[in-house]
Amino acid sequence: MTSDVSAVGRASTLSAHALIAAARAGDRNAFALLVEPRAGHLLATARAILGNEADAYEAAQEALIAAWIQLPRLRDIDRFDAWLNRTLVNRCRDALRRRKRMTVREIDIETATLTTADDADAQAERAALLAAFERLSVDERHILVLHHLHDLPLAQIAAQLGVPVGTAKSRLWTARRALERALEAES
Amino acid sequence: MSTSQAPLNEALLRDVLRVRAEGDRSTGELIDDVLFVVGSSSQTRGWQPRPVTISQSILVASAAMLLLLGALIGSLLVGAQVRRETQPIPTAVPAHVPVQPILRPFVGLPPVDAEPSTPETGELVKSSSGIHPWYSANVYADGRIIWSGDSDTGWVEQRLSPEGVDLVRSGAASLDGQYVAPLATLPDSAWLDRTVRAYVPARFSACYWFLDDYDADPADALDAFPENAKELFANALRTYYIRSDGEGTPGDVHCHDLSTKDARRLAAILPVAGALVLGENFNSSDFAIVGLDQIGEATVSEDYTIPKGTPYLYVSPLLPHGESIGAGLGG
Repeated sequence: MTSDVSAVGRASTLSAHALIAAARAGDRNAFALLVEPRAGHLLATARAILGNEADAYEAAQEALIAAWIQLPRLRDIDRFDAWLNRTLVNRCRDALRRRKRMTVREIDIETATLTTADDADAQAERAALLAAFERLSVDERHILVLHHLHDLPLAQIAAQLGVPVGTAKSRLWTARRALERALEAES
Repeated sequence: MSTSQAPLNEALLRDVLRVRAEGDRSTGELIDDVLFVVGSSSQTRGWQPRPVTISQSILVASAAMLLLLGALIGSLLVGAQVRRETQPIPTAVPAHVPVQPILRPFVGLPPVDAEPSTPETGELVKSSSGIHPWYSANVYADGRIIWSGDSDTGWVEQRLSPEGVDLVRSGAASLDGQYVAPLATLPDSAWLDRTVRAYVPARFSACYWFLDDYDADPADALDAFPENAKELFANALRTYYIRSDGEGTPGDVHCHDLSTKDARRLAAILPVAGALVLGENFNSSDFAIVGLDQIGEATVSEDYTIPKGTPYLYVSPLLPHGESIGAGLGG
């Protein structure tokens, strides 16, 4: 069983390498095959980080376009996923900066129409957690999303971030502490 | 064993993130949009990733999105005549006027989720531009007054009541006056909503020509565009010439009116295809297309002098009556 998984992993890696090489040479079909299995992850990550559909879609789109443009400059193709994730996080950071410059205040109608005390408590806890999450940096949000939304183990989080496992573990702990502190502040 | 004593409600956090990660648009749509921008596989022009000298980074792409749609064009189109060639401007009027909570005007492409000003088109009642504390103002039969402080700050809109429109139409209220905003002294009864909001255009014009070449038909500059850009132009809301002299002779510009979505796509397509972005700040609207099929060899001097005959494009927001904002500013 283990050897089968390894074989699949090797085949997958080889395939990714071939696709990256072809995409670097300008093969759009290879690029499509390369990013297709990753697009859902990217879009969900951007949505969870930004909490805004339009901004998230744009960030994911910009990240993929940037990947196409800059792929020939990627020196280590084994770090493609880490590089793509970093690109997405940078686009999310840009989106948050743009959003802060706008004077838009959205009201959550559902939060404003509570019906019972239990609902109110649950909604308040949920709203506090959301507000606390919004206080975090993009990098902190990202690692929490990788762990708590995508359920990635530390080794995969490390690969996505392009850092050693120990560093990923430390960053995850730091992000959780930041969220706890933000939650206290919201309370 | 946990790595921390965090009192986080893990289940709630997962659920909150799960809900945040949900969205309306599909992964397939995302892939399609990206592939459209980078060019379809059936595109005949042989694209090769280029070592960067001109347009390689997405930073440039981002800058281009602002540059491309910067609200300035200059006086080239002033007084121009427009000859409709294909489809008329759609005149559908939405049933409601959304309250757009964006109070700060912008230059270039609107924020991605900004609702455009409605209705998309409008009958111009009166227009004025010149040296005021504000620069240019247009009043429409539907009550909108759309005006600009200056060319770099974007356009804003307010809503007049029918009484206010009648006052302007009859000449009883003048758009000229040294006030902070046009018509600022009109009574409340003349206003439906005095709130100053950003004007969010629903359409943009994309116009191209051969720089300094007055003998060539500007429509031929279309050949310089990548296939996906041509596809956008082929499906444009309207296609027309703008004549600088009204004689119907070449030497003018060829234009397509695009939806905001397609203008956004165009802004993403061109840097990917290798268009050269001119200008050193975001307030410039200059956007040149230099040898799209041989961008690596494009020759542009360090002072951005563009050779005569270079295909050249600008994109500008449109006012409800179909005039380019840049043309208005040029007045």
